Amino acid sequence: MSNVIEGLLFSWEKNLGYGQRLVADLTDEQMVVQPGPGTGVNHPAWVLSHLNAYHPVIEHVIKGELFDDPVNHRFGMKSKPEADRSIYASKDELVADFVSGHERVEQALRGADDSLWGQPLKLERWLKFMPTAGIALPYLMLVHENTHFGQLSAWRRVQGLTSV
Amino acid sequence: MAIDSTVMHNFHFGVGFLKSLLEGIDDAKMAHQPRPGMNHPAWITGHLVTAMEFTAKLAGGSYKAPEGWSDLFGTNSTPSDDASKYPDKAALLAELDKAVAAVAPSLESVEPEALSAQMPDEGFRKIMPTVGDGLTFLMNGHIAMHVGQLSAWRRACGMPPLF
Repeated sequence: MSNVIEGLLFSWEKNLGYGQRLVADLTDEQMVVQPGPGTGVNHPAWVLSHLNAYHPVIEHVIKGELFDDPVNHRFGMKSKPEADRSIYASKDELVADFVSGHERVEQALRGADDSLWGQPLKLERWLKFMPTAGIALPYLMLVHENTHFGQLSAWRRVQGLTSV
Repeated sequence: MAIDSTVMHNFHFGVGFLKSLLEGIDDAKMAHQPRPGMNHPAWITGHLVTAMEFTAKLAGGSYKAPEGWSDLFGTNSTPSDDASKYPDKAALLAELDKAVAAVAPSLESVEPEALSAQMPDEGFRKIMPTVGDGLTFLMNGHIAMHVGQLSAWRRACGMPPLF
């Protein structure tokens, strides 16, 4: 396994733990809280639903397969966090999906080698800004996931919760 | 495979994203905390600049943040809403550009073999065992996480999302 893949997997494993810790002390009801006007921060239920939608995408990128454009996903980037709890899976289900998605990505990446990096993406819309798996995977696994973790981290502060 | 054709692209993306999120934030708001304890734009920017010191060290380069910045922005520092404690926005952005310009050439020339070297700092070695672990985290995950905090800060201040 290459050093870059090892580095990616290292941070991916850290994200697995960090993502779970960010919601560990929350109730199901807290998962959809967006307190007051001017605090329209993405809530935990939306963030986990959104990130979970990308795990199969990452798997397909690693395997060089065609995949559905996540922009059209129910919890894709065009969706908005809603206060209706029934829209989202329970916290336990969201966390379980997050864990299993992480594990599937890790398994796929452990079987890859450096030839992966130059592999073109199969989604036409992404080719303009992420032409290869070498650019897409660090973005999807580290930048995208951590940007949303940062939002959750700030959401916790808005709620008066401790930092993780 | 060198790091320059993978995480380097996203390093520059993260810095660019940070700058985009800072656009439209007045100097007077840079240390504003819409809720107590929230990391504000001045702290986030300064913190990411000071992290470039360690990034440069791991990549075999050199960059030194201005005197006193590690106390203001280091890992153990706490953001204050007293704006007078912080450099102004222009100074923060200028130092960010300086740090990126100093660090990027070292990152681009890191040999793949160097990534498997043991983390030189004993304290960090417990959580990031190799140089590759540290660089991948610092260049992509760490920057993105604080960019996400800034994104949420903007929403908490009633500012619109960028996209």
